[in-house]
Amino acid sequence: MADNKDTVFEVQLVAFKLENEEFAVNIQKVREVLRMTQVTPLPQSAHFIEGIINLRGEIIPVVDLRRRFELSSGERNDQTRIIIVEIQDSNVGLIVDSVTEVMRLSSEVIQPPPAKVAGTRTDLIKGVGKISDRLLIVLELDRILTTQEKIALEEVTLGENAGV
Amino acid sequence: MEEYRDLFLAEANEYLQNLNRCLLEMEKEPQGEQLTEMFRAAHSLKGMAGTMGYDLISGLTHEMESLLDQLRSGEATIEKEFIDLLFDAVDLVQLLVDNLENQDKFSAEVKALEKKLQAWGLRKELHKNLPPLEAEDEQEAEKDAAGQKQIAWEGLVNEFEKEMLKDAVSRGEKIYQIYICLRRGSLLKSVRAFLVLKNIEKQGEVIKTLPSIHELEEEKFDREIFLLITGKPDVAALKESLEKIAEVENVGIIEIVEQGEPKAWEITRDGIPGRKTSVMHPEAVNEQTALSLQDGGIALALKESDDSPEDISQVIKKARSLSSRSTEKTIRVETAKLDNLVNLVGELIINRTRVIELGKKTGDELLEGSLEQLERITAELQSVVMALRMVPIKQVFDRFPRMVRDLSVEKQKEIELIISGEETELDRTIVNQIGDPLVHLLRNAVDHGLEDREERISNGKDPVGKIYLEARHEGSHVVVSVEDDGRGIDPEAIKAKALEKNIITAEEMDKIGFEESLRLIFKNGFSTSREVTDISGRGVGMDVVKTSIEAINGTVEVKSKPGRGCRFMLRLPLTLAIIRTLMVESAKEVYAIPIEAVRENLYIEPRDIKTIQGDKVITLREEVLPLCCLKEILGMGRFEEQDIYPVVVVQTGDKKAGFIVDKLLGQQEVVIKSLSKFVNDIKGIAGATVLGDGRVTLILDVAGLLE
Repeated sequence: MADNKDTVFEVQLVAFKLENEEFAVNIQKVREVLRMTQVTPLPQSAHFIEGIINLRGEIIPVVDLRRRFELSSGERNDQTRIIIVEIQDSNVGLIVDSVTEVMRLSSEVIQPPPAKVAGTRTDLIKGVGKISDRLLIVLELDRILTTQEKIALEEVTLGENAGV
Repeated sequence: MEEYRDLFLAEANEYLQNLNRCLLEMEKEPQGEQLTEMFRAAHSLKGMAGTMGYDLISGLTHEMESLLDQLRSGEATIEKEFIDLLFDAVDLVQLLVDNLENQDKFSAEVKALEKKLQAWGLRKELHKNLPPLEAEDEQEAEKDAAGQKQIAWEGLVNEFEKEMLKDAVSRGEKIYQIYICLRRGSLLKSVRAFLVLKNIEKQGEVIKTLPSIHELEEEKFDREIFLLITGKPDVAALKESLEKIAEVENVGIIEIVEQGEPKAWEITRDGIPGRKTSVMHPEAVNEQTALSLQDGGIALALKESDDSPEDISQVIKKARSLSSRSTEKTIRVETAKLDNLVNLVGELIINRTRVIELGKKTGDELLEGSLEQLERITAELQSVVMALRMVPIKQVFDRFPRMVRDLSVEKQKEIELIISGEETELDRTIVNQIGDPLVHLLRNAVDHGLEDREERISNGKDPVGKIYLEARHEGSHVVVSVEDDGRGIDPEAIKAKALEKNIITAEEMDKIGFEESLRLIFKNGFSTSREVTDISGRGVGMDVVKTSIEAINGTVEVKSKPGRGCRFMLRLPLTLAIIRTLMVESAKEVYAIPIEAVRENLYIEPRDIKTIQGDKVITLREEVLPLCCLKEILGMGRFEEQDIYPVVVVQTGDKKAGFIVDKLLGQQEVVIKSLSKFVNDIKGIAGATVLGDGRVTLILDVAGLLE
């Protein structure tokens, strides 16, 4: 992907849907996919934290990705899934509308994010993949749980490296 | 080798701690036992380091060992400088152990110290002209002699073994003692021991071994093995076959001649020395050997502890101290494995509750019966596993005598550290976290609590300052206190400093009472980090002490009598893993409140609720308590009018309040799970737990909620 520009390689992605957009995360970061389950709300946490769940004894925070991307909150149905991903060595759940497929893409196809994608926040996007007429937004997982203030701070310190 | 390194480190540190402790004891009152123990520790260290190829460590410990051996044989006297020299040596070994990768850096220091040690040894030579290097040979000679000495077996064999001996004698067999000494640093000792047994079994029956068979199997012995056998062996051939076994250094076979009743077993001192024996009885092979051998071994292992023979020779003392050391029934386990076990048992308990709930629904009697059994076993398992996490506080306390000694030398104050209750057990995580706070408190006591000698004498105190370090149980808590008999804390000085640091204003300064002024030392900013270095100031870093103790759900208190001393008390929970909680429901969610924080539960009616300046309060036994709605402070909902409100009265420190909840659900023990690192800084939430039905419930942090 973007972190290695010299060589072309294949990445395997798990694709999922949020509203009408198609997103993806690197399969190496995905631990498992669960059906929607009961989530215990976590008081006084960031607005996009849905709560916590018990995954075989481990307490895992769950992020409502719709809220994270400031999309309208959709209804939960039997298509709703929680994708358990690994972020900085910890497991985190992501609530998505549905998981569509697992696909292989050449790293060439994935481009740096455009300025604006469907009103979403570009700092959470690692790149955009184009497959014929489909547009796949690849998530920057490390930023998912970071609050906006922290991101703003990071951007100030990063300065010249802002393109990453 | 790499995989042995951790083991080496763990053991080396243990030996070093032993050495330190013995030196400290010796400094107070020299005793032969300390020397023996130190000698053994230095010796084991040398062997281990040699096996691992750490030449510097083995070289240095060799010199220590030699010197200690001289002392042991009374050829040198114990002097202050000598103890200091040994302290230096122990420190240097510790340094080497801590820097295994870069040992060579210290080779100059090691050489210098080795020279010093040697010089001391030579100076103390009295009549023998042996250079210290040969001390080991002396010891070898001693081992040699051990092969010829007899163990007072009569005190060690049990009734069953006596019967076997009697039978053997009546069959015309003889009794022999076989002594085996393995080469120093021998690996695979249990294999060697097994081969030894195998060889002997061809020629006779092994009645008893010292150490026991069990210990031999587990390699819980040093180098020496004593065996008591019966049979008609060809002694010379047996000896030869034993000597052929790899890594066997020394073999001694003595015939034990029985006189009169087996009860009054006497050993003839003129028993034929092993090397010259040549009795030929090759046919004595007993088919039952293996079985009886095992039985004997096990019976012995069990019996050994209550044996108390009166007439014990030096050899047996040695052999028994060897076996008592090896009967320490402990193994080393990685803490990560232990934590994993605790977690798994936590899971098991949670799932058990779930299975039992499901089982009850079926109404199947057989199923319910076995579920009850399951419940009982898992409850037992839980308590055993929790006990595994408990470690004696000794682990932390052990390093303090040395630290205080060094500080007392540095500060030139005479100090006595009196430790009590070191066997008190606490959860491992807590024990790991109280080390630094205690170091702080002890340093403070030495630096600023205790006066120097002149001042103490002029105040009519014992010139030796005392510091008491104590641990004891108090209800469901452990209290650790650090007390000194120094000058105490001057409240005026504290207030003046607090004013200077802008912690209090001039007006506040006049109002603050004695107790409260003492608490000022815990305030953040009372001391600056610049001062938290080698030399502490009174109250330096006290806020750090307080924060770290509070982080493990503990509290810190300080008491002081000016001129008489002061005392810090740390009140710590026994365990962090499982706590009792009161379960309540609020906004359709279940919350667990740690029972420690709950004072009482009650139901109130709307007319009980009064309002003071817009805030709800209730009057409870003439005490006005602020009242808040749990879902409001959690931000999970709004207060709703009802006919009756369940209220939980909570308290932390001196803060007290009533929480209005929707429902009181009852008490439950819960396994605390930490929240993910991404969401762990929420004020008012201490952690989470999983209920029997798999639901996640939050554990409230009352102190956080009341802030």
